Amino acid sequence: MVFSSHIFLFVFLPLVLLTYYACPRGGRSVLLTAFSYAFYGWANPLFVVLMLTSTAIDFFAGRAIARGDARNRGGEYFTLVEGGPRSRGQLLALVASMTSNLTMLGFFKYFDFGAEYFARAFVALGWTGAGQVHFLHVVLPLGISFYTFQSMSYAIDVYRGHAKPLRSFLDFACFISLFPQLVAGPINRYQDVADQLLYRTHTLAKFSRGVAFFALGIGKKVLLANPCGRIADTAFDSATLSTLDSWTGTFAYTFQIYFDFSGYSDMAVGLGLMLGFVFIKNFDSPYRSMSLTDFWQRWHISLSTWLRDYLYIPLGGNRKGAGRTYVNLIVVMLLGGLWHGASWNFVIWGGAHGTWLALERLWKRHCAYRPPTWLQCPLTFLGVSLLWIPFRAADLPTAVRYFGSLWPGHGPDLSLVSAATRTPYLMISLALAGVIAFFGIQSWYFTRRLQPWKLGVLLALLLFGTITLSSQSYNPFIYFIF
Amino acid sequence: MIGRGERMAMEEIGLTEIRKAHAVVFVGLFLAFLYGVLLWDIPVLRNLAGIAAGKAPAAATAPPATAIRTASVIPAWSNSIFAENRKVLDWIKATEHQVDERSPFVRATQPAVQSLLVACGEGGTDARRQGWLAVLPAKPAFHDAPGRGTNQT
Repeated sequence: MVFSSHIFLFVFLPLVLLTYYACPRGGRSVLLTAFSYAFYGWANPLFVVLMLTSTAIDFFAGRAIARGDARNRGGEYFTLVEGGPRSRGQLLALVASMTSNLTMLGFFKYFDFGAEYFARAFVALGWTGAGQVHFLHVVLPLGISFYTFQSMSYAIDVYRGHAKPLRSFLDFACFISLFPQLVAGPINRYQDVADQLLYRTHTLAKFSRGVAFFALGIGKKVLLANPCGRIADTAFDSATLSTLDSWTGTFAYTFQIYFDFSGYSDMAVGLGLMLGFVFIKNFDSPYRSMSLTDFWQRWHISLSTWLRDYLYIPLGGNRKGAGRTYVNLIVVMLLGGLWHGASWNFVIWGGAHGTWLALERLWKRHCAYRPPTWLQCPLTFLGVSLLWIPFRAADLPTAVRYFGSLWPGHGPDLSLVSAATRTPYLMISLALAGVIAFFGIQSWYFTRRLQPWKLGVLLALLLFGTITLSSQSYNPFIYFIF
Repeated sequence: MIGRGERMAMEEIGLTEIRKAHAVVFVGLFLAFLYGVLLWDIPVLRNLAGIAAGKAPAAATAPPATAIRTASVIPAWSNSIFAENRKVLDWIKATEHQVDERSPFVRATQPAVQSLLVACGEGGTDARRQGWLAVLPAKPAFHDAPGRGTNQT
């Protein structure tokens, strides 16, 4: 189910809110879990089994890790001592959790990709029969990349002594399946929401803030991301492009992915607040970054901090010398790219980001020259925008062709793409997206003080966004496919 | 009682400043909007549930614009999308005489109807030839533009 759909907005959400607030506090987690499973199973009920399996494995792994401590064999569970000794059984439970999650993720996300390239390699070596192999055509379950990372964070946090183990399976199932953040994040780490699963407050101010976030999210998605997406889709699907069209398509996608994903995150944070949860911030005006390092502290913060804490630091981070730091950065970003999907485009995107981060660090270490401040932000924005091309293009040849069309003098002077995209509505939306991305108030600050004029703007956004929504048949978010 | 996790998260999100009266009106309007549309849609949803269960469509129970809009949100159950959409499409066709072409709402829902037709194998240029779809745009969509398989200029 998609947030920006009629069935979610006007059937699912009213039912959830009604039953949630009518239900006694003790039963709210169970209720939320049931609704979240219905939300997840809407597209394909079989996916529910997969999520339940992952949840059960991690819950019991967490329990095994907790019980390795003698204090936890009684009634209540305590947080393990941070940095304290762990038994072999506890380590095995952690390995079981990580192996099962990574296997599941690997199979559903990368099996066909790997099988295809193995077959191609065998064909290249002369075994022509390999080309006849029938692949499984594994269907990617929605949100698997997000909930497996969340699920793994539980076992790791409990093992490290960063969070208290949960006694109730239902509370844990609620954490994993919580519908606002289930399909496309933010990736809430267990330690961030552990206490909220047991105790959370419900206030009118919190609910109002939630509605405000939700309205901003729907506005970003429907009024900014979708029109930009129409320009980007037209440009990226076109065989011949003029230089101007190519640049327009690139910037349109740059704004589309930002407003689509940050819109989803705002809606998720808003829904969480309506239900009493406070989720972490996922975006912090990333296109205003002064460097790529700065960009990754502002873009998809929940993923970048997850990768930092659970991958970069365990690999040694920057503690093992400069050379190792550069390698770690590239490896983490390569894996981060691959996390988005089984495609060479994502590998290239991740690898390019990793290399750029490493070069940036190298530059800062050995070179005193810095570009003028006024140039840093445009340069970063330009680089990030260009790197979205392999991310968006259908395959590598398309990406290469698209890069080629960015050069002046390439392609026709007047193309059909221009005719299809240079409508006032689309151009105004694109310009507005740019202005808001660079100069607009960040959602988190905008919703802090809710004066009457802001409430009016938010209600208008909600209404106008919903009306626009009803004229569009399907509104999937970009990150749903990851 | 506020837990540690919530306290930490609240520190990041910051306190919300809103007057109680404003919050009551704001939340009230939001909920009225959600539940208002839900109540408005109940006859349509009941009708669709009936169609899915094999009953004859009760065409007069809802305004056609609502029906068209609701048709676009039929869940894409695995492998059954065709059959479900087919039923809804049949129902929409049965109510075609009620479609007011001049209604801005009907015009706004055209993409939804078109995608439904495509899902049922009746999409594209052929769909526009059907009488009841006269409300669809006369101007060719991008998919019909030159280079996309037709000879329109």
